[in-house]
Amino acid sequence: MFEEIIMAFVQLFFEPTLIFMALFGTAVGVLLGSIPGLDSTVGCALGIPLTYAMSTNQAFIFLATMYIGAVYGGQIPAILFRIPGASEAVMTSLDGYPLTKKGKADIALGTGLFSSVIGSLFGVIVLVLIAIPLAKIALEFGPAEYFALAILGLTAVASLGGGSVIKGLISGLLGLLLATLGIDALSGISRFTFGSRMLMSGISFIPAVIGFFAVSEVYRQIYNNPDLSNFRISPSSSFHKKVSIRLPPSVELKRIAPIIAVGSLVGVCIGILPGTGATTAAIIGYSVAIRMSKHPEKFGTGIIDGVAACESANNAAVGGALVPLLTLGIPGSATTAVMLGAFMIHGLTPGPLFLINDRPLLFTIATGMILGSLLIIPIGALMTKSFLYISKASYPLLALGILIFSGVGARATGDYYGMYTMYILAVIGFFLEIYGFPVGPVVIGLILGPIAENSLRRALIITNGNWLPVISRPITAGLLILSLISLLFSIIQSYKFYKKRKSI
Amino acid sequence: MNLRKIDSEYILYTILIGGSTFLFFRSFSFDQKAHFLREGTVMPGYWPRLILIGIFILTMILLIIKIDKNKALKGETLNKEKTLSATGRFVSLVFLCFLYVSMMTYISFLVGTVVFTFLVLLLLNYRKPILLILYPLFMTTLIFLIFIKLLSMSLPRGVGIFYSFSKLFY
Repeated sequence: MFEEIIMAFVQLFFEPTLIFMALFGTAVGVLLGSIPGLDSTVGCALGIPLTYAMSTNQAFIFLATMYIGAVYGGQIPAILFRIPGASEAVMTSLDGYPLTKKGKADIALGTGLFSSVIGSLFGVIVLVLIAIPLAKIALEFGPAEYFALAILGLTAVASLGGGSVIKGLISGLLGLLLATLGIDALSGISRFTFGSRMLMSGISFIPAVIGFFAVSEVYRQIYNNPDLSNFRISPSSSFHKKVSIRLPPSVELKRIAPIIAVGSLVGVCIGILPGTGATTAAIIGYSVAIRMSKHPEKFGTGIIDGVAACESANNAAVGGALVPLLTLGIPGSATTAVMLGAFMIHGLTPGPLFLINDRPLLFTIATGMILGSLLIIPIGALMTKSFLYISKASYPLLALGILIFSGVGARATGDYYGMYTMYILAVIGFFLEIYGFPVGPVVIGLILGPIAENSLRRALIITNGNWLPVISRPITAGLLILSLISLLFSIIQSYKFYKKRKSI
Repeated sequence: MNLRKIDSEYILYTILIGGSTFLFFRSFSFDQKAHFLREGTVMPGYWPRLILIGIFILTMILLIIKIDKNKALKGETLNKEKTLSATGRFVSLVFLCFLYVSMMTYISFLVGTVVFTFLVLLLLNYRKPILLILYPLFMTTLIFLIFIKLLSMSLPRGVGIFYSFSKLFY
């Protein structure tokens, strides 16, 4: 195996077109990821026709590095403007944007970049070294396990931002409820549509994210700030800094090293599960980091731990998502599902025989991804500088840019009613946050809702409606117990705090 | 003199409790429609009902806590007053956003975006004349170049004269 890896590296560096493809793919990916409404899936869909003219090695390096770049790119507007450029960066905005408001955008971006590089490299290493045994473990996950995983992700974020746990839970449940709108996947019955064509297709995820986070934030700033012409997102003291990205101090880096390590591991593990992907990986990575932390109440208020957990997890999931694709022929995420098209174009069949018949391609893809992971450093720095310049603009101009870009981005998803959905949810998000209901859990409920519901119903179909066989499966039971413990812990902490305040 | 107002949080809790109750009973109609599913299959209303029960119970808890808190505060005015101008600005902005989305189909994306940008700048008390003219054009051009030219996205061309105008560009 090591000879094959060395050969792949030699091939990469002696074939300039492969290096160019890695650079091109990464740059396009970062650009796409930073534009709301566009992500790695769209990038791959747009890029596949281009691969007709490429050799097999060029094509897959281009697509794989575009995937890495897009997953990274989403964090830039998420941190600076609370607009997740891609769905994978939703969780990053929860701590990234508060850091920007504190004047620490450069540290947030530096932490995100560092975590992304580490996570991405870890994912590639796992892909190369233990793809086959990992794929076998992925096959052990059935509907019950997926359901438990979704519950784990939901329960951890109930206490985000140090706010009321009960309000966080209600927000999560509202997200789950929103996810039920539209046509039921298992029976074809329309639910809560009230005859509306707009609701028939359900709530699209991207317009919901942009509405809840970006547009509602614009509404809130306009509502709360009487004099907007002098208002800036970050404190003016941060404008004198010349650097756009800065790593945290080494003491902080050492402190968050375990979070990055665990986040990367979680990211790979979630990425290998078919049908999940980097977004789910970011949510679970974040929830695990909350559980690991000595100060879980600080998550959501602007700490680098939150950014590190999400970015290491979502980038590690890229390598993880390629594992089931290459070894079993099953896409690990929406993006890898699109990449299947590229395999067909080049006459390849991913699956168990892939590692026998086309083994060198695996190592070529891996070396390209390693190069792409390192290339996001200069490309990310360049992109960030442009965005930071934008963030210094007068707020009315910035707000307008956000409103219009968000609207067009919502439309770009192909959902005709996307813009309406976005603005309606923005108003709902505005009122929710006014009354102390965090919108993060709503979005998480929206993402995990379909996974939770469909998995639970499938599991109950298998057991003829009996809950006991579902929750007594070892992995399921373990995940559910973990969820219950962390939820009870949050509730008890919250109750103690309430009693203390009452006694004062 | 302090006027006693209904705390708007009670209104929100009432909406949540009333809404969850209404939707809970509504969900039974999904099961009736799905009568063709075999015995033992989980009905489409099952999961929404679980969620709605959760929302109902948690909101009731919040309501009890709120009443408890209000008793402790002994009926002081609880609302934070916001100026009429802030509320008016917010409502106007929301209205403009919906107007933009609705009118885009008729007056085209290009014209709609320029007009929307101009009106929002006015609403936010932005009065620099050059920017009032240049920024709408700049923003529309940027969106046009990225989404229409680069990504070949289809955005509304409008009707009549607006359609003819849009066709000049895309």
